[in-house]
Amino acid sequence: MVLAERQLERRTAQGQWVATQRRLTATRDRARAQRRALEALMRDRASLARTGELR
Amino acid sequence: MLRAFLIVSCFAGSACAAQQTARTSDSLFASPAAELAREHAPDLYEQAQSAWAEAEVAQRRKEEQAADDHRTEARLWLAAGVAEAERVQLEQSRAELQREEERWAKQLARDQEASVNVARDISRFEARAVALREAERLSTLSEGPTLSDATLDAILTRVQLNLALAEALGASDAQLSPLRDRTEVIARKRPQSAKAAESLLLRTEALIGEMRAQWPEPRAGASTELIETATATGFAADRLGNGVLIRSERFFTSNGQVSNATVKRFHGLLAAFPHGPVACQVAVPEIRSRVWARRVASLVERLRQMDDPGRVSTGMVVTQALRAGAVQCTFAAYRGL
Repeated sequence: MVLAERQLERRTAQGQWVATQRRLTATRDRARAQRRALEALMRDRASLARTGELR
Repeated sequence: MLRAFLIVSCFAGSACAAQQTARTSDSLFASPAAELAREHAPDLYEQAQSAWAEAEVAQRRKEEQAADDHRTEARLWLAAGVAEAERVQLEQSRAELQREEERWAKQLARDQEASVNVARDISRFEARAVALREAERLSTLSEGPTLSDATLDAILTRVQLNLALAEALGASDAQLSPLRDRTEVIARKRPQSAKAAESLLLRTEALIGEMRAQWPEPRAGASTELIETATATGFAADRLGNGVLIRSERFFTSNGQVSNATVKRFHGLLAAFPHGPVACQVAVPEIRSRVWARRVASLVERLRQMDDPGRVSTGMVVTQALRAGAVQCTFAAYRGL
């Protein structure tokens, strides 16, 4: 009985670990994509600032 | 982590049962999995050790069945301990993953906010670039061959906006009616030449200036109006402690000639904001440059071709902060409004 309970809890913890790992992967991918988008925007802004006289 | 899973499987699964029966206390409790159980689930580990001790007592008494039962109990307690240890380790690992997730989420939020700000800057730059092109187009009308329908419509729209502003500033019907009549005539006849439309546009800007000039000093909000108008007419504009600073790198063409279009735009701005002196500085590479002295003298002469020639003073400044030929002018009366 004790063993079954502990195994069940371990399995639950394992499921939560997998879910957290998936969330982390998704968040990390989004953050990296956002960082790339931000860098592209900053390049555009720098380019516009260079080409126009209106800084 | 995977290693621990396999160890647990071996403890709990029936496939290992045959091997386990032959194990000694040392091999059972000295395994890496048992070490994990001792560390993370000491109560269950203790239970396993107690059961194993009872098995040894039974064995010494030659009670084989009881000894087998106690050994099985010991293995089950230890398997539970290993499962518990595994759970604890998973929780610790999950907590670490969550901390990492929070770090990425914070970076994501910061970058999203920064992206919004950069995108806003880009929109502003683009809007200013459009305003500059439009302003330059309007200020070169009289130099162009013919007037397109779209340009004429743009001018008439601007004229009407100027008339509305002049009325809001207190212009009378006597001042407005002749200009409205001219607007209607131009809209109806749609002349090929730009001169009449351009003249009307300049006149409405001058009327706004006349209305503003009736006040002894700029009214509240005038500096904001100056900045907005300057931006709409293609200049860079900033509010500084000593007034509003208007900036442009287009007063000189690429071959060093004074730009008619830019001077015309600047005269329009001066007419619309008539208060106080305006101090201009031309950035030059070196103060003794004869070439730049001639160019600046030419600009001074052009800037003085207005109703109040003494209003604008112009000097030269050597600075690395601005490109050679850049001009910045301070409208000193528009300070802190």
